[in-house]
Amino acid sequence: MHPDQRFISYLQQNDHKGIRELYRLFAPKIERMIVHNSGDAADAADIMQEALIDIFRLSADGRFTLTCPFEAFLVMVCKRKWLNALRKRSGSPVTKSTDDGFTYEKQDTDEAIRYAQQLEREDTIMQVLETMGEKCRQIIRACMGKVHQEQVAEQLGLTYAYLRKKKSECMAQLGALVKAHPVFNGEM
Amino acid sequence: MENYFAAIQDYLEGVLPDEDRQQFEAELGRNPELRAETALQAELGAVMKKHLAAEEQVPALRQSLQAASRDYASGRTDEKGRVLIRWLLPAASIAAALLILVYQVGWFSTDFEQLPVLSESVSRGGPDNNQNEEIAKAFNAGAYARSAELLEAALASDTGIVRYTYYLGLSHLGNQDYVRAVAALKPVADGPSVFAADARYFLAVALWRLDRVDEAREAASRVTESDTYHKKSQRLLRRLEK
Repeated sequence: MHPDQRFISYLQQNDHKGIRELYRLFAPKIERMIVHNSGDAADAADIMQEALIDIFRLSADGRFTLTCPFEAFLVMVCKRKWLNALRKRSGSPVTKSTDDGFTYEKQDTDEAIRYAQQLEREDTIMQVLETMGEKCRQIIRACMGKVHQEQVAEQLGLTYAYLRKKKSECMAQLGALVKAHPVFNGEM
Repeated sequence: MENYFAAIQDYLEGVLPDEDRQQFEAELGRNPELRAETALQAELGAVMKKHLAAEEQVPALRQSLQAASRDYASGRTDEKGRVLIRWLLPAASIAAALLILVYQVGWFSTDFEQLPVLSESVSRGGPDNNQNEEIAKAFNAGAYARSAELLEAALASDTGIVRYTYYLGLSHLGNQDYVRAVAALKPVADGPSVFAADARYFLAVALWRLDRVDEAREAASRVTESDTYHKKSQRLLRRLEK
């Protein structure tokens, strides 16, 4: 475990003092990278906030172990998010790579890329879920909670057998949609 | 195929009877496609459980991040301010005066109240075609008093058309009648319709204009990342913190 795991703990515990430290240490670097690549301070604030929330979600179950410097991970996530934002703004793929102006050990960069890719996979799954029909979303969300599925069936006014049948259909549909997404099919 | 996915779910949830589980595991060993699908379904389940459980903590974390971001931004401004005072006070005074002037005429401010376009297409069960066109023309031309009047008339005959309740709220917002805007937008924002997420944003704007800051913050924080007005909601939240 890297000593910078403490930054992950600050997010998990919503530690105000730790979060302020995190901004003091890393916000100027993120801002410099984004301002240097066609953005402004407001863009940098948005990107950094969304990156930190995504990192919180990634690590929310307490199983995530950081093995590279937090800065390398955060810079990588922000860089990829900013490239996506530029793609959306321009309506076409951005061919120029974002110059982050930072240099890390190759091993740290590789780890940071791996974490950032995992974060994007998880983000994609949740985004794809939101594109599904209301019934499927309702069933999947309810079945993923802590309530037993027999109670879920009762709450939704369905029989238990029908709930399980619909759940497996919805999960199959979600799997197909996720596999077709560029993040999963290797097009990104 | 249906049984195929049902078996995967049953296996992952540990509810397959022993004999079926052994058969499934044997098949997993032989069938790479089943192996890949089972692994994907396991990943989907684990990720969704983790994210959905984390979701209730996100609004509080977001508030802490916004506060830290604000502290950082104000610290940066202070630093720049010291340099300006030392070296560029006269020029800065002139620039500040100009900036205030520009800000007051609205060139720099985020237009939180920019309203969407109302489509002229008729929704099923809605008012007749001519009436719909008339409403859309009035609304899109910025004649909000007129569009509100027409929408109230349309809703008098059928109160169940959520689309019209939403645009009635927006018409009141355009008309700067924020109390009525809140009254119309709140049930839409709290309801299950496709307008709910957008209504939350505009409800937040109306509440902000009424100085009901806590309620505005609550409404804006309910606009999620996948919603159209998420970015503007975040900007509004930052504004509300000032």
